[in-house]
Amino acid sequence: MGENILFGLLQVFEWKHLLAMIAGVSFGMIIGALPGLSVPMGVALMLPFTFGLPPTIGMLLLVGVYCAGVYGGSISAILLKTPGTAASAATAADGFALTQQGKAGKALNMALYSAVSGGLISGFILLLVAPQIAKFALSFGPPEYFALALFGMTVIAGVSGKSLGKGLVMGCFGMLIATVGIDPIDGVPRFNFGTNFLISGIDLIPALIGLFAISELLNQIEKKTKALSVKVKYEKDRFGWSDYKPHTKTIFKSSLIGGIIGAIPGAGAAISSFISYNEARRTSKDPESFGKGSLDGIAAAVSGGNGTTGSTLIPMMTLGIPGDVVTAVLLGALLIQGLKPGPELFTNHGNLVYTVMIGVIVVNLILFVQAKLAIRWFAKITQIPSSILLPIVFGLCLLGSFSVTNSLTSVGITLFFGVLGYILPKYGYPVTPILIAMILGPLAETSLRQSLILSEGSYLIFFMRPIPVIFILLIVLLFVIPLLKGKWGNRLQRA
Amino acid sequence: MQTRLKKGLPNIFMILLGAFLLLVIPYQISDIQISTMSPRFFPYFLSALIVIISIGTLLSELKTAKSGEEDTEFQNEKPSYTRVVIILLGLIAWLCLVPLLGFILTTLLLTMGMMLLIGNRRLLQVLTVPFIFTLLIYYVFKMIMNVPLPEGLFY
Repeated sequence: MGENILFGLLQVFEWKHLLAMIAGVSFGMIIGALPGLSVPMGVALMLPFTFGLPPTIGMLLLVGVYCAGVYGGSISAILLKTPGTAASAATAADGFALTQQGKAGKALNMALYSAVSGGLISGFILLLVAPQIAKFALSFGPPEYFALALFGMTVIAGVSGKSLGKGLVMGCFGMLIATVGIDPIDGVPRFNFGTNFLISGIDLIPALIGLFAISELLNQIEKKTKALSVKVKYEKDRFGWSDYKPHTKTIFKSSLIGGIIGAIPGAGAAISSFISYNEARRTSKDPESFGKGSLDGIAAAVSGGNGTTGSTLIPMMTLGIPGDVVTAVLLGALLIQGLKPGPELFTNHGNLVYTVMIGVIVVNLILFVQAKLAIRWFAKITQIPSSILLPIVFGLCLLGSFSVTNSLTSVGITLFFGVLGYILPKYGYPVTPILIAMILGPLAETSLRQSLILSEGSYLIFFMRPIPVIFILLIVLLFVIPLLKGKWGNRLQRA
Repeated sequence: MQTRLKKGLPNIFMILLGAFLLLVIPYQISDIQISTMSPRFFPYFLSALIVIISIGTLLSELKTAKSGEEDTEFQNEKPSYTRVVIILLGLIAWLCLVPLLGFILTTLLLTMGMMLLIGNRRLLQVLTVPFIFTLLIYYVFKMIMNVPLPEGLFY
């Protein structure tokens, strides 16, 4: 492990790797700061640029976009009370209150220091914990993978929104989409409707660009958004150690919360940000100031959000399970480079893995320098008129999907999924379960069928090994506890 | 009545979709089975689940609509679906025209058209932004990153 870390350290400071991280951080901050343009969209848009690059450079570029994007959301939240990302929603009230008091500089600096602290702590958690999980996961066989895929799909419950039923329907739909193409065990074509282009299946990236980027752009067009923001005055404020010191406890605690929540598939930065904010308010000596311009509130929300950036990579890299949409895109990036995420990634491509893990830490240092230099210019980016910004992003989406297979078929698939992503949420159907099921579906089907070959058709194989049993029990608990809570809650209310 | 219909229609559509898939599977997936589980098993299972869950959701939503629990959504401005449809047609036109006109010309026309449709009336911007964007993308993708771009009669 020590050797790998040393190798990663030497690799990450090569000029081309540094350049990739700097470019990623710049792009991520811009995307994150623009309300309406999400971090997953930014990572997806950058993806085509990585195709022609070596895997390490590509991954560092995307990690840069990811970490900086999560931070970037707090810029527009503070300056415009418009969170650029869901994770920065908790920052909006306190940040904008400070902006109105003429302390925008202080708020932006607090957000930056907290984001970098959270990111660094999360990066160290990734570096120390991920290799141990990977070692454990190496003993996994098909039954374990099937149970793991099922467990991963419980994420769907968390991203289903108002209706779990509709989320599950979308999950089934996503898995059905994943069955299109050649069957992985028997080699039989499925759902190709007599066409050739469907025989190779439906690529994840065009579907993803459609579901998340094209649909969001169509929503902006529908709303007739003129510009993503209005003009805001920015006053320069000095910010140093003396300003940071009173909030160290909050930042450390929130970063740890972020580190733990990030490692749980499906939770993500937004949940961590709100939990950290509530925890800081609960333990604060001055809880009334929260929501009215509390620096402690900003510190908690931002470090909680950025605290997830490193640890979300733990399930993605060690088990091949995407915890959220961004890690799903990063997983796609690894697959496109011919690398299979999972424990084998650590044994077969240890150099890449450790360079990326150390890259997460270095990206946060780059983010600090770049953001410190550019903080006052961010507000200007959010003022670009939609009539310029939206056509450009549309163009990048088309190009992004074309680059996946160098075929216009991918663009057609993107447009199809774009329309789906635009229409389905209007009727209460969430689209994230489609993506999660498209990723985990093939793993679930292949490992189920391989397990049944091993057991000669007996389903008992899933109950005779400890790891699948643990996962199955966890799945049952995840579904049963909320149901019981709801029933007890109703009874208590009636009483 | 109208609310119940509005709530029920998407679920009915999903039930029909699931039923359609169940009917189509025998024609789309061969029954050759080499392993212990048929290649048709997963598609059958998932399509049936779509039907069952959608029926459940339909019943529960009709129940909520009956008890008068309704979601109220407010929108400040009337949404512009016509613009969405025109943009989509523009994107489809790009897809069809790229093999003929090439990447540069088609992207240039698409970007200009979109800028005008979204409401940009500044001639200088409408003329310069698409040019700079298209040529920059062409240069960065094709020349620097070696990523192939769609090609037609003209670049």
